[in-house]
Amino acid sequence: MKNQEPMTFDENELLRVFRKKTTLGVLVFFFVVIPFLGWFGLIDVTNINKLGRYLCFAIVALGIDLLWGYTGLLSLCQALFFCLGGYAMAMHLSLPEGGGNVRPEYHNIPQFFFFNNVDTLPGWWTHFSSLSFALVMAILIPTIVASLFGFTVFRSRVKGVYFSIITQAVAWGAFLLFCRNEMLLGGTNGLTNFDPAFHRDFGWVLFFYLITVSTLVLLFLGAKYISGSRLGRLLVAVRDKEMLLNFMAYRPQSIKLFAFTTAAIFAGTGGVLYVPQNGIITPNIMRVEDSIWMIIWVALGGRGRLWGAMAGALLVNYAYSITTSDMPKTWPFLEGGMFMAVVLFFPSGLVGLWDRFEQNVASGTRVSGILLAMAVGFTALLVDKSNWGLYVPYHLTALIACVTMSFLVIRSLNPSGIVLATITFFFGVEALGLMPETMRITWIGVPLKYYILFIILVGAGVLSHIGVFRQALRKYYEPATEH
Amino acid sequence: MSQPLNISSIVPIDKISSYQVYLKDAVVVFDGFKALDIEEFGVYYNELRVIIGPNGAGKTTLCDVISGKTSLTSGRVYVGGLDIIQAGDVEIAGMGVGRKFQTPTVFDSLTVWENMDLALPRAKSVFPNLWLKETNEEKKRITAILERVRLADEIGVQAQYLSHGQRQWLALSMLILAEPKLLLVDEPAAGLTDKETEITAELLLELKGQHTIIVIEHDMEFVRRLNSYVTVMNEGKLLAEGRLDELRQNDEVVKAYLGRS
Ligand SMILES: Nc1ncnc2c1ncn2[C@@H]1O[C@H](COP(=O)(O)OP(=O)(O)OP(=O)(O)O)[C@@H](O)[C@H]1O
Ligand SMILES: [Mg+2]
Repeated sequence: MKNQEPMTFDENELLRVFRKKTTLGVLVFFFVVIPFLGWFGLIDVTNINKLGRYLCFAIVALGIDLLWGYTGLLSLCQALFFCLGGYAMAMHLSLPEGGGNVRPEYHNIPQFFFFNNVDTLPGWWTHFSSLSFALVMAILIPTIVASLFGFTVFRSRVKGVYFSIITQAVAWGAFLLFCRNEMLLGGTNGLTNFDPAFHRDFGWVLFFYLITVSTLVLLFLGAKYISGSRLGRLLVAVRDKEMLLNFMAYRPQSIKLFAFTTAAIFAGTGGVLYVPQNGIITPNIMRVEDSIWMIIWVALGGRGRLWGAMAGALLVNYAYSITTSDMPKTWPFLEGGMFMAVVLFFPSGLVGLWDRFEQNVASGTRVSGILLAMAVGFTALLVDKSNWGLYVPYHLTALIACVTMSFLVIRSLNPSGIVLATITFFFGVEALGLMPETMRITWIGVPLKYYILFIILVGAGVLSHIGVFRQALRKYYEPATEH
Repeated sequence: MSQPLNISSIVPIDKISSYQVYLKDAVVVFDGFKALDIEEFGVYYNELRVIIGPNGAGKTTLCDVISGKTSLTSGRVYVGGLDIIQAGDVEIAGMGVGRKFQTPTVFDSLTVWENMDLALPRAKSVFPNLWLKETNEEKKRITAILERVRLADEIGVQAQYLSHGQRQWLALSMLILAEPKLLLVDEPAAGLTDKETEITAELLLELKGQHTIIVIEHDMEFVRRLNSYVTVMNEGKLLAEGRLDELRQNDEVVKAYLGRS
């Protein structure tokens, strides 16, 4: 698969307005709609907490996109950097100053020390009672590790697969190290017993969620600035033809070191925010498998485009969470299927689909119908979820919503738009916990919602190939007349 | 690797200082095969020198040695009076040696403009590139060069969508824009039409006298247009040097070309 920057088409006025509106819509959704729905109890705390955690993954994905999508370096130790940030934060959180749940019978220090026969807090742990120290360390440690490692590896001009293999070895080594009790970091059990309010109380959950979204937006702007600067072009240049840079007096090693360290900082930041929302961190999250998992997010989202990486992280994690709760055994097949579908039909990932959609918008296709349909469906589900359902007969809302949605969607007749809207709607509804009970009725073990999803997606697929079918039919009915 | 002391390989200082590029007893061996075996080769400051020779004569290898891509098996090479045996490719490029590769090499997913932008002779370290933008002066220079090579309308096009001839020109434009002291130009006219070849020759002739230029070319019409001193190579060795019409009379040169094709 050739590494290709998606072609940028002319930014016409329609597209510019559309992009502006989309950005605004997304921001309003994350900063206003979700907090308010949570406030009114229409979204459960667990769902906001989950979204907060997945947004931490989106932060990691941004870094991976800079490193892999732009610079072409496939690192398999990003999960390690995520954990380095995470552990530093976890150390603070497991101490009483950070709200850690310590008990007098265990000498008022994290419990695992007791089982390692340590009675007093080791000196290097005591510094972590300060939040600012912990935060500084959480960023500094990944930075230092990444720069030292990157410096040695890139200086010896290690490239391509060899780079990936070395990063993999580092991740493996670190995993073994963190599993050891002598490290005094909780061994295989990791660090836990933080203040449970962090991932249970609405106030705390919303607080961490909002901090995560804000950090994500800031880092996105940072990454966007980098990718738009001349340094961003140098990153792409390294991916395209590293050798040529040498003869232009640039130092590709330094450029790669920059990308690697930046990605590590992004990953570490994600880890810091993840830990309080997750309530535990163990060495299991830094395995090579987890780093590969992170690569998959970016691959499915579409590498080389920053928002694609973020969307990919959310999408893949929700897909995982939804299927494992509905049909636990099917996940490996679904994962494989998704990967195949991307490789075969959407080589540029979600971004490719979006680009096709944008091209339609640029050529004047109206998308208000699809958006309106989503809004109608969303409102109907909220009515169902809220107590207003007592006053409005549920089945009536559902019926009206279904009819309106179908009408609006079919009227737009825009296959890529329908696919995107369906995916967004499905995952949005699941993420907010608004899926109605009716959809859980199963037939041969598969819930109803999947049948509907399948029918819509296949329908859109057929729609997008109608031209092709028509041609094929015409050929069939009108035999060649040349001879 | 230290070299055995050899009286004949001690290079007189006046030779080093009067040549922009100077090679002495330069040998490159690939798997026991001598790709380059030059007793002495020098190009004066601000000279335009053309190198010709049949396929596999070692012309590209000579460029590789001067630009630090390949290191000598034995011998000496000086650029601007400095011994570059120990220097890496980046250092040599930093000394003002630029090259255009035989297969036109550019950054495929960057646009024509972005390619040119990276070629500008300015900050090469990482961080300044985070905020530096091209100045108006530099923009004008880029536009001027691109207009000459008829790429002005393609500035927003990714290099991977350019035709072969356009890639040749983009690579050459990037080299010219970088203003190196020494230009190594490997087959700039390969795959160009006659008209395009003519423009390329004009561009190189304009640089003559301000930069040292080494041009490798097979196209005799192009070589004739450049109207310069020519070095003929064959089987890694320098076969003859002189003006093109003199070389036409040289039996050895004619034989080297005929013997091959
Ligand atoms: N890296 C390498 N490893 C082994 N052999 C090489 C290498 N580079 C070049 N050669 C050989 O050295 C010889 C000289 O090659 P070179 O590319 O310098 O020729 P050239 O004069 O540029 O030819 P052309 O006109 O085809 O470009 C050739 O026989 C080539 O096969
Ligand atoms: Mg050659």
